Amino acid sequence: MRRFATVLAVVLAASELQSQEPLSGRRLIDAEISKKRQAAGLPSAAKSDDAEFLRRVWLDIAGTIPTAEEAEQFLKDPSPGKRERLIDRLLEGDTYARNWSHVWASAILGVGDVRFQEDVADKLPRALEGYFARNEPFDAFARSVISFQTKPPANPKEERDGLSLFYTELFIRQGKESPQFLSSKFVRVFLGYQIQCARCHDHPFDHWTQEEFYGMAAFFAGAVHQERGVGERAPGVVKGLAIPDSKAPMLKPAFLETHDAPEKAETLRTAFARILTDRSSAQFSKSGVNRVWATLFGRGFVQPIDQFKAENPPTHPELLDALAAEFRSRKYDVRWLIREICNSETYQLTGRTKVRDREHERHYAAAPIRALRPEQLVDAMFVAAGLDEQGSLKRDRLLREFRATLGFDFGAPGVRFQGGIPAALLMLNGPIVAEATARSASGTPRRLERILRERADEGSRIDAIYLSALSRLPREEERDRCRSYVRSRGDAGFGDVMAALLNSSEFLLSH
Amino acid sequence: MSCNCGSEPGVSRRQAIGYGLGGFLGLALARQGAALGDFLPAPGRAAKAKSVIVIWLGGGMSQFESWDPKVGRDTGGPTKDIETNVPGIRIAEHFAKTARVMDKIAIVRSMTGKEGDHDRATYFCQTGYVPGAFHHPSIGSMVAKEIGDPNAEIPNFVALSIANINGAGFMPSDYSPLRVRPGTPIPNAGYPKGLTRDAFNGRLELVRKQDEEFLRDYACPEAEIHGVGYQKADRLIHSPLLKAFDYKQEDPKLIRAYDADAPNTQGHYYGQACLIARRLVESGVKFVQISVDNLWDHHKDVFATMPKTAGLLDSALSGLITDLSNRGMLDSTLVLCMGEFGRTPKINKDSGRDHYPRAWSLALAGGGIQGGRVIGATDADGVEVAQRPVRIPDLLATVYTCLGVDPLKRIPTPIGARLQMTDKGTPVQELLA
Repeated sequence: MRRFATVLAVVLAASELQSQEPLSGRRLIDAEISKKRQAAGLPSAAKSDDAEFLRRVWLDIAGTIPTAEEAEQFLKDPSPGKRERLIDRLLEGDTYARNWSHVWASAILGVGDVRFQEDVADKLPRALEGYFARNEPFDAFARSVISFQTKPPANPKEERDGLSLFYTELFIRQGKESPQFLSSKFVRVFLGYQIQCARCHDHPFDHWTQEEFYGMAAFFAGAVHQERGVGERAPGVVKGLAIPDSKAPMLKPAFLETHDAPEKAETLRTAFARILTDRSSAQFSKSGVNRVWATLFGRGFVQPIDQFKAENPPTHPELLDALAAEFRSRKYDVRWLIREICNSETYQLTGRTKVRDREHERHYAAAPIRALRPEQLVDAMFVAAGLDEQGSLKRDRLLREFRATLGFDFGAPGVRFQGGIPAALLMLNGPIVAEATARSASGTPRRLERILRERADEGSRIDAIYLSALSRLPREEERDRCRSYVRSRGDAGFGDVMAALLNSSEFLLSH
Repeated sequence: MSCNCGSEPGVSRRQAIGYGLGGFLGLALARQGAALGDFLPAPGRAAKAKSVIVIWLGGGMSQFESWDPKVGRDTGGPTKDIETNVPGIRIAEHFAKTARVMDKIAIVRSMTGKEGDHDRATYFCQTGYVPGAFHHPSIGSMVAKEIGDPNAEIPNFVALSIANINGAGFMPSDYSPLRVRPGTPIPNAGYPKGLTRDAFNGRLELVRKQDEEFLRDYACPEAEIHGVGYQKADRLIHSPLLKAFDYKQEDPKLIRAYDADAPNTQGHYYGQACLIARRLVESGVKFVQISVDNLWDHHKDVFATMPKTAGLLDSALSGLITDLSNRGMLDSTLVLCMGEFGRTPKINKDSGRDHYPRAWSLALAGGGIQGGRVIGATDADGVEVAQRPVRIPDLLATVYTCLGVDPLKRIPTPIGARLQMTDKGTPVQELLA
């Protein structure tokens, strides 16, 4: 099968060459990545096995893992094309939008500048979810977030939405420095530049000047803190922004690199969003592609992902440019981008390897190892243990606990897995494992009762637990080991096996 | 204005990545850094402090009602001052017990800064930097990294609090604080209901075997780091040193001296926390930070509230200093008592005082700090610093110097720049013994 796939790929690649059509999407990715990898003299890992692929693609697109039944069905399915079909199904599935709203909420809340209150972290993803559910073009998404204005509530008791909370929190924390912070934030998230160092001085190692910094900040001088969120001054009311503690004249809005200014009838933030996605769209698209890629591979072409600058060139500039151009020409179709990446051979390599160093990582010689984000971890544990989100354990509360313990940026691109004592204790003794292995009066783990009832022999029970937790069947040695463990412990031992799998590196690392 | 971006280029990516890798590589780099740090303490001044206890006054304590009273001025309000056991040093009447150990305490009356928001100021005071491109490590995490024991059973940085504590920032979680609220157990240290020690060990052993195979197949350092975290967690929750958290093992007279038998209401647990802190330091913990929510944020009724609130701190602080001194531990334990800013000279319409970072006070003792001194001064009304301004980076540099750590040492950051331990901090020489 593997050989057939390789032959097919070669034939396809050859036919593309003959027809001289430019490569696009997944083929372009594989051609560029393997060209550079070969030039570096590095071998490529083999294709992932079905179980590896299944778990990886579920976590990446749906943000969780398949149930034991779904896993078993996929693993048994002999038909060709099942991977592509799964990718399509997950992109249209229930939790795709939720997962990617978390990705972008984390990008917007960011690490470093402001520590946002928990309710912002809870509610911002919900406010963004609709954009991904509708597959809103990425430029339209960016414009909506940047020029967002809080609407008067339909009734006074209506809960505030996540974007209003985000702006409110930022206004409260940063006060009169809010324009600087908003502009730095959106420049980081949507252009991949770090300009905030230029706030205090012309940065000696970056090319942004203080004037450019305040020119960008001035686009946010019209944003006003309203009781329930954010509003915007009418066009023409606010002319610019003064540099604090300086006698320099007020700076007018001027966009980085393009030097564009707002038009007469535009509000300032609307102007920023327009220029960003129009005149500055080449960089906007590159930054967007880089972030999506980094989410799927744990590293961007440009890494750190928000440090596009001459001294930090992309690993694969031609590929980044071409993907960004295609993303733009396809009207910023986010699902298209994810679909192409996930269908590439590069994405579908195995993570099994003997060497894992920077050169191999940079050239995608094997699938990367990535820590699950807190919400992926919680959701995957729920599925593995068969817990109901509406049940006694509340997802929001758990997410807070996991974020607080693991760190908000846990699992973010470029942030390496850290472990640590509080995290280990949360995983070993925390509420999810306690609930997953809680015992009934008779001493059997309640959540495993169905498996124990339906499956008579130990081996098949252990198979079911592995499928639930790790989306694969145990190897012979694993089955034997667990069998001898449960023999010495009785039914409670099955709970220990489940607890151990939920705590394994294989569970909490995407591989 | 200070820059928070780190202003030296050229740290290699490998070094920056080293932080992210945590565990072994992080520690290896930390050791390498120490070897290369080539910091030599000033001649004749060996490091004295081996541990630090921070009593964090979250919300920002009023300097007018504590270390810098202004009796007879409008800004001073009705608060009176009292003599201390050091002739010439007078402090507010709410600190009668502390006044009797003033010979061991140094007061800085000339702290000055710009950050007036609780979160930003807390971040600034605890890290020495304003929020920027990444999360800066707090001083507790820096100390854990610089002088901590990598194999300690209890983490080198313990936070006796759940609020107002900054953690390891971009540094590995080895240097994160273990957060414990006094009077409550370590989070998730107890087994799930009905689980025996034997079954717990069984689970750990299954995890270890599972990970061994994963590590073999995937060659990823993360699996190793994961394993180290679990070993450390296992050692911590079964450590005999945990009895340090049980302050009730102390002599009841000592417990009363700390006022640690006061009802633990609304998080007023300074007494317990200070006593536990001393016990932790005895067990080898390098940095203990005590914090009680925003207890000192007296926008209202500051004069009515201070006697009681300050009373709890007075007993705890004087109890701690006396106890450390009696045990011969004061020379090696630096006590730092501070909030994120002070409070306004102007008394507002609610008889309260608002946030004021421009001129405020804090207190230090032990660990190489010269007691019985006042550093700096404010003007007659406490509006401006009149003498010897001290910035937060200078304060942090002083603490590092007491610990024998070079305050100007540079550490790699995730964005490739190198960051000074303090933002150009200069130790306050007058504070040093």
